[in-house]
Amino acid sequence: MSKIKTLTRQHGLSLGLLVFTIIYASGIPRIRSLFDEGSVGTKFLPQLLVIITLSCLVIIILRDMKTADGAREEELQKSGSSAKPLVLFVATLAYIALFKSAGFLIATFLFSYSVLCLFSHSNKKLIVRASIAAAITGLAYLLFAVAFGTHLNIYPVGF
Amino acid sequence: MEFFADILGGFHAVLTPYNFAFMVGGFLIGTFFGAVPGLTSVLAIALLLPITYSIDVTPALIMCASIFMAGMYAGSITATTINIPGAPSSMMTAIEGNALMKQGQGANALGHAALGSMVGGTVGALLLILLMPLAAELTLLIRTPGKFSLIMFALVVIVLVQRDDVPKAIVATTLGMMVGTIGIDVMQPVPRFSYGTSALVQGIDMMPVIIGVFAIAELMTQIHARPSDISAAELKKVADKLKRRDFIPPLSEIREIGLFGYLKAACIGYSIGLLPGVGGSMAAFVAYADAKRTAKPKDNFGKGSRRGIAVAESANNAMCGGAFVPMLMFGIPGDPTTAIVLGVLVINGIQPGAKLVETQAHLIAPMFVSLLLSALILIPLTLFLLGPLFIRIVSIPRAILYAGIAVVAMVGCYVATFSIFQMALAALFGLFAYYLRRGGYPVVSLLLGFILGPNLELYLRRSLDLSDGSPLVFLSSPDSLFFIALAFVFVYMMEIRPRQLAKKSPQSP
Repeated sequence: MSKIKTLTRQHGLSLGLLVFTIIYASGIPRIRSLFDEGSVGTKFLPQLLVIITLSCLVIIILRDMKTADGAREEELQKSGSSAKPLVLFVATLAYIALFKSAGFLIATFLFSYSVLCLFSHSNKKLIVRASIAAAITGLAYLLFAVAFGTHLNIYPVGF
Repeated sequence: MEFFADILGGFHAVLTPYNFAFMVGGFLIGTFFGAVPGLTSVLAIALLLPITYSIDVTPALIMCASIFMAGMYAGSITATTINIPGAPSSMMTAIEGNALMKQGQGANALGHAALGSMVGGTVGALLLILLMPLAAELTLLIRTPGKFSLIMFALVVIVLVQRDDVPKAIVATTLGMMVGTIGIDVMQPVPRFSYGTSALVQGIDMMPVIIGVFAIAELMTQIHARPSDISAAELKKVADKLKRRDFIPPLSEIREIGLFGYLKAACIGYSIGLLPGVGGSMAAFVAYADAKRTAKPKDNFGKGSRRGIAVAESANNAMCGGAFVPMLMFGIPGDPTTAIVLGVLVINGIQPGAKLVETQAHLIAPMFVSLLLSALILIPLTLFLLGPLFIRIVSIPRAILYAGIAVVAMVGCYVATFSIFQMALAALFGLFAYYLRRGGYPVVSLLLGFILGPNLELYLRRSLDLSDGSPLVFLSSPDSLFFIALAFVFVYMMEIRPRQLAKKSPQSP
């Protein structure tokens, strides 16, 4: 079990890309062709890309396996934990989900507040962060809605 | 001749108050993003991309050009003063500039960096303007098989410049090309890789890719960066030490570097700019290495060489001019910034190619003029007026900067497309690019693969269609053969030869 964990941790990205390539490849048989173009048709480049990518990924995985585990582990440590970036990703998705339903003002305020919290190393008071988030929201509104005349739903749906 | 008349018209366009404000505004934004470590001019232009939907193409291109030039130069400010290159292209400047700073000659180092940038940027912009009609003529000689081989050559260069890890560069490029194949086929009206969703039938727009790869992924990467150890008080002290009069380098020092030194570095930078995917860092490095190779002991390389600063800055700013040539003529971006500028052109319905110079020169001429004026006037002026101020911007709390960037990136993405789906795609591409960066995959290759992939496929299939499926068309067409030979030369020079030399050289104990 721990071997699988180590393998996933050290080669997770390469394995993930391998899965991505396989999902991509699964779409190739579904590509249709309206007229015959010979061997270089609608499927040719995707097939070639899959072959090249898989070959290179195998090379990368085999090469990484040869690298001492300690060195790989050190490399991973250096790049830091991916927990915070994942939180940022979730916050971004939440922002996108709330963008229309909660309206520009509330969604943007909450999003900028969460990004402020993620990047802050100091223990700023809640009120200070909230004021900064409000200022960022206001400036973004001024930039997009006022300066560039874009229509943004500022209030929640049905408000 | 008509083109040069358009250039004169470009001066007129840039000097109208509205466009002039965009040029100056762009320059200040570029300087800000270039000077703050962790922010780059690429990020600035990526954030600007959605805004270009709301403004005319001329001010958008003027702004892009001034951001590009400013971002390339501004990295030298923090590189010199606090030894943190604001942009990767200022790495060489950090070595020499900070050594001078420690000797109490920081203002002098900044002056040399600005002068080098000014000369290099001006030469690059002038070469771009003067050689553009010739480049357009040459472009007409390249037929469909030649265009395929040219893009193939570009992809070879993009992969080879990532010398640290070629397999990863290949994977990043092919991943970009895979993303580029999603949507309607380039030759037939059939969807590919839509997986039953109508949203993917239209294909993936350049906007979410750019915002994701250069803004969201950058934010995710910067979460780990520690705040600068230098306090605001220390930065103020550094800024106070710099006297404006010391920004002007003495004539004797300029003479020592020599006009030839500046021009040679600028030509190196411009030539490197012509190559796809290489960028300012390589330009600065090659010019610096060349100057170091021929240096005299008094040049003091590594210990505060003014020549080192001048050539590195001259080369990276001259690169800006060169990078526009393949982008405007073939749609092959020379670096990430021009890749985004290409996005601005495409969004506004401007197609790269020789016809651009013939029929739409009035649209690109103001951009060239903006590049020239930014180098010639704004670089020295900004240093003189705002130099000490830009040192202090490092002390701006990162949290505020990044929260603002995150909001501008996401709202910008919505404003440009009015699509929640495109916003979600930007977030997904951001996460994808973040993990790629973490794993040592070059994300610039991903973007360039995404941009070049569809054209590569189009020209390949068109060529074969025209030659009844015979692949010999790529060898029988002189232009195609030229680019294939060039690709082999690059593979030999950058991959095979260094390995042969490494084998021959005696092993170190």
